[in-house]
Amino acid sequence: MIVAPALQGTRHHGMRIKLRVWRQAGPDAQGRLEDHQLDDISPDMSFLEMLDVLNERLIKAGDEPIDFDSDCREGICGTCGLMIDGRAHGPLPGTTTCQLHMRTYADGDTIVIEPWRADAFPVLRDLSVDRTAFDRIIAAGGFISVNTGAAPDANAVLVPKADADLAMDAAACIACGACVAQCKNASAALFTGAKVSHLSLLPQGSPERARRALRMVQQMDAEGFGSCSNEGECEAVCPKQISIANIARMNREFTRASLGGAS
Amino acid sequence: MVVESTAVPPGRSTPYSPRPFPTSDGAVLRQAYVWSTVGSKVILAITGIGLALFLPIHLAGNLLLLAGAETFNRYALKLQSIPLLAPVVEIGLLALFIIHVFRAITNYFVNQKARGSRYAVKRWAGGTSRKTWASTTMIISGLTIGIFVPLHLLQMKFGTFYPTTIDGEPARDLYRLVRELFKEPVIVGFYLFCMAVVGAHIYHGFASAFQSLGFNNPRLARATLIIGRTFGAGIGLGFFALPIIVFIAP
Ligand code: FES
Repeated sequence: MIVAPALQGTRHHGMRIKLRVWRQAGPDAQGRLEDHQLDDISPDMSFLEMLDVLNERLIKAGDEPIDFDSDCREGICGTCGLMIDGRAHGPLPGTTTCQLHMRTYADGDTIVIEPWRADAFPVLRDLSVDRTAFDRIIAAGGFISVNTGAAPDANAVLVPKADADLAMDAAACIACGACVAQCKNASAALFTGAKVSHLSLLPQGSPERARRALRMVQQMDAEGFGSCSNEGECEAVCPKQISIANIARMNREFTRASLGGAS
Repeated sequence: MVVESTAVPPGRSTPYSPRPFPTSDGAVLRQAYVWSTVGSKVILAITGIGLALFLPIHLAGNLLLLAGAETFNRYALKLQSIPLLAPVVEIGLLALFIIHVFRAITNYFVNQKARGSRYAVKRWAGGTSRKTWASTTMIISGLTIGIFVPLHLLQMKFGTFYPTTIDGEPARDLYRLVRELFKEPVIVGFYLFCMAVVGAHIYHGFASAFQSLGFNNPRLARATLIIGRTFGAGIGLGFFALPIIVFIAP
């Protein structure tokens, strides 16, 4: 087969990518950036598949593979999340790390990969962090109380369309933690705001409305997340593009609950 | 999951302590509110808006400098002669100032702690983000204003008392003091720098305050952003003009 000389590099060997990856043996271990060179990356690969390729090579060579989290790999579960070249989930808006593809990059690029960094998200190992702080915020109030039994009729409780839309937008949050990772204060205001909004906008969420706002914000603070500086960096990196209007709503809910004589 | 331990978990610098909520005790709730991250931002917002609203009034008064010594000194005398106005405004502003600075500094330390370790590489998100140089330097611009204001008061309010008379009554020749000060290039430079800083602080702070106060209507939020940026630029430029005009005036 005759291959034009100009194409030889790219067609035959795929993309050449240089990686600088954060390696850290455990929560209290000292971490560092480790350099890797990949010469055979297909532009069709997802970012995580590229890391899979690297890990297989590491395993074959008898080295420790790089620890990172993923599950659905279709942008819906929120398990993946990497700081890629200083941006949560990488350069594309509205995109999770697993939905980022190598075609976004050019042959010869260097990519720096770090874990989410926040005091409330301790690094477990390499690129995976402990996000159970989010679980505790949800457990503090991110629920509604319903009687179990037969499923209620779908339209028994009427919800205005506008409220349903706002609640749905907030409910799109997949709790990946990108908002915390990108925020200069490591604030969880967008996450908590989305969760407070999602339930408090609906009639089903109204019985616990005040208590929910109180407990979720208090838990958010207890976890050691910072305060919101209203820069909106979170909104810009959120893979579900959740609006900071939800933070404003949380502030109102929390203020009303704290000062308005809550139950 | 119930977290009982207050020990510091691995990889963290702060222990998390679940707080006993809810409570029906209004006093406890109010106290917790004041010390919460959300409450702190609401306090910063209210005090910040209060301080910012003083500036256009101050600027409008100062522009009377352009109308000459007589008008300006008469205006200054008038302000002093309205009973209680000066002390009430001064004590009010001082209270807002102290609360604003105190809460901003305590917040700063909470936020520094929250981001325990630094990224090797960090970029701005772009897109819908409101991050600007003004927003990233709020603590620095704030501290600069915190230094400027006492110096400004020392120079002006507590500066040299040049006596004069208005309609035969003894009065202070503030016009002369301002002219003298603004003929000094160093002082003019210092004021210009500080006024740019004030403008930058408002440029981010205004819309930020309304967001903290819960203005979640998208159209209103966008309006506060535009108004705030215009207001910040306007205040900065307005206060910029005075020292320059006085400096170059014959
Ligand atoms: S792995 Fe599920 S969202 Fe990326």
